[in-house]
Amino acid sequence: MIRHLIRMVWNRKRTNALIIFEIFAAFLVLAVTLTFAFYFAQSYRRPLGYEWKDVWRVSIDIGQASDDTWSEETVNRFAQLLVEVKRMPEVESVAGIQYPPYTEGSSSWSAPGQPEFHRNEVTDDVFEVLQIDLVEGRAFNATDDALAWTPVIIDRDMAKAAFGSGSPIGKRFDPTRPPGAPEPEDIRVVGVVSDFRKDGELEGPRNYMLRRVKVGDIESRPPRHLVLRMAQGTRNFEPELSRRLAALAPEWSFTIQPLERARDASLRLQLAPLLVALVIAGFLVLMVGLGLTGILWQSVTRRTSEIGLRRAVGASAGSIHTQLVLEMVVLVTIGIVLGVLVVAQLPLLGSRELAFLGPAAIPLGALSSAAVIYVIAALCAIYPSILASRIRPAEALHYE
Amino acid sequence: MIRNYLLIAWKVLLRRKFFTFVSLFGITFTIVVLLVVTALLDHIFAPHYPESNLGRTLGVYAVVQQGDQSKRTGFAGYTLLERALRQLENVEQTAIIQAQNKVASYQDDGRKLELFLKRTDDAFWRIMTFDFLEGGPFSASDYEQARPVAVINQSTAAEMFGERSALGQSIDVDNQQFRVVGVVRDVPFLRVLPYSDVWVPLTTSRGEQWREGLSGSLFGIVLAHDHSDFPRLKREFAGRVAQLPIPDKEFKTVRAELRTLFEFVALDLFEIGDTSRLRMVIAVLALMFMALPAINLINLNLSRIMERLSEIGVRKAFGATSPTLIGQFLVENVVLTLVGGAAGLLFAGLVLSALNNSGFIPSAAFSLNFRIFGWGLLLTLVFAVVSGIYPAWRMSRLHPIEALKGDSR
Repeated sequence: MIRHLIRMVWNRKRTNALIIFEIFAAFLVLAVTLTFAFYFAQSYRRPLGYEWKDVWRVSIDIGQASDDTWSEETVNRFAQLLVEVKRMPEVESVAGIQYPPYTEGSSSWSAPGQPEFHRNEVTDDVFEVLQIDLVEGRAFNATDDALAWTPVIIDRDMAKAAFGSGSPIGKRFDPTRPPGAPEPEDIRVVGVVSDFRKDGELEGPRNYMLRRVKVGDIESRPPRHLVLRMAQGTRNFEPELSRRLAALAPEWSFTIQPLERARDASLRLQLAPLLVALVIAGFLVLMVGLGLTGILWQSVTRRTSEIGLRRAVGASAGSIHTQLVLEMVVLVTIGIVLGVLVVAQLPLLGSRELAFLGPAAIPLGALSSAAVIYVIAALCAIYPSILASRIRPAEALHYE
Repeated sequence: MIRNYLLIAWKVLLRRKFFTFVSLFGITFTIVVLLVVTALLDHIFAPHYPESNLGRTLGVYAVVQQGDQSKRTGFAGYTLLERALRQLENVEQTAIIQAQNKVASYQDDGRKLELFLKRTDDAFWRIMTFDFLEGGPFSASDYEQARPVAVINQSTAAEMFGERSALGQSIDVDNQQFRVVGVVRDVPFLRVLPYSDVWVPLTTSRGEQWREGLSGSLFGIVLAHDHSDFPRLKREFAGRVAQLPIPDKEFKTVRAELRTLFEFVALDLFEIGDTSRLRMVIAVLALMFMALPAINLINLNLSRIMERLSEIGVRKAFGATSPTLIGQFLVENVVLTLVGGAAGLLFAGLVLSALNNSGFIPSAAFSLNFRIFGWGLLLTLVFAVVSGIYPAWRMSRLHPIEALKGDSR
């Protein structure tokens, strides 16, 4: 049966080659789009590692283009600002952070032979404000000021990448240093958090390190944002806060945004390209489906005599039906197998650029793309094959 | 002859409505997507309100400072623009523009407006051709005296003052007080250089730090007398920048170039090497996108040819040559795609106005114009030829006897 079907397909190879190519191309487009959809869905389910509700973000513009230099005055004023904001009764807790959640900007490091990681700079209270999920060790606290070394807190991914399965607490750690180079700075891990997904629910897995800011110390750069956990039921406080901040530091400019709003904007921005791609891929697949229906229809008309002959020698309407659907299935299968061969190259190449997708997204994308295309092809075959099974043998044999 | 072809094309279109519908669906969809992308590119790169002088404008979009260990890439700083850009000879205007900031403006009734604030100078208003609905731009003396005056756009004026006139009113933006001196028509968001909601003199910036540095948060633009001056200006500017003393010990060299917006995107953002290559990349992407719809149409066209075997057989038997038949089929396909293209133009207009109204891009003003219509026509014709040539060739090669018999593989 199958050999026979393949022979039927082979007999019309020139026409079929183009149809197969069309299916192949549609499969690839759909597989890529769905892979990203699965990747986003996967990411969305992982915990953030912090709590954004009731948190406000205050961006500080100190009127200076580069973050790499700061003056004693800036450092002192920042320390003063933290103290003053904490005094406000509407504010439960406040902390400084270089890159707050749902905010653009990041700092990543990769030294040869070391795991790549992203880094953030925070003051002690950030664990309280963002309710960061600490799983091992301790948070930063005021006694760290006296330490001769720099305490950092890393996430689980970073702990695994740098220390394997052992506990990282108390270990020396400097992933910015290439192996064998002298150690310029004594950095030690004091805690591990479950994760810190700064860019939110759609962010891919990455290694993370939180470095402690020594507030008031000239060696430690003052972060460019404040995060404030607001007391329950605080309303209409924003203009007031803005005025008070301006009074505290008249030369700086402050922009206040509840994290909830920043989150909406950030998610919308990240999802927009996927939505556009899904709509376009959807239309492409619809177009391919309609095209296939047209082609099948035409071929039924052309093969009237062949079908009539089969009917005349006793084939049932059902078996004509089956033949046409199965021919379609053979075409689709060839197209998809070719597509899968191409997609399978991606993980095999071990390309680092695609590693962020994780092990599951690509197979899931390919699988669901294949499923969608089979369903569409089956739908396309329904109407033409009904037409075919309606052909009456006497008429058909008369056809020429 | 052509009239006959057109007539036949029309009859064929009407014969099998389902095929015509499916073909048109694919063509229309393809043209819609390509036209929307074209409109976006046109919106960004072509001279539109208020950048009608874009063809004579060059900008300083990026400054790179490099040392042995470190590299700093950023916008331009005031010192660099003052000492290199403002010194250029024989130009019409030079202006300094701050990268806009999103800031808050709290209204007396408790509402919060999130506005873009841009600080710039008086020359900005002479290079850009804004439509003033009320009042006018701030002057050179406003700039020098750092007077707290502001130009705001129409929708901000409406949000703040409703029906009342905004002129002379005091506004509180980013915790600074300004007096409104002019109201302009809204600028689309993707016009990066002029876009903002509120424009105020650069000299009203807080503190004095903004006057320092080679890198900063500023753009510089220069309006040349004619675009034939571009090579001279670019040379002169690069030379002046190279001679600037570098205050930061960390860095050894400083580099900045005058660019058109398209050059900046091609050379600095995508690092493509030259602008014609970016055009090529765009063209190749467009062709790749066309591939699947084209194959779909080719398949449909091939099926339709088989339906017309007897017609083709008769024509061949009476001596029609292959080129004639190819020509005829191409004309038919062009007619079909033009119909699809026209529908595509219509739907693209709908998609763009939906985009404008969605508010996803602030004060977007995507629109179709004759330039985009021209591109649409070109794209449609390219698509017609790409999807028509192979079926036409297959058709022309049919053997007359087989064709007449109505049987062909």
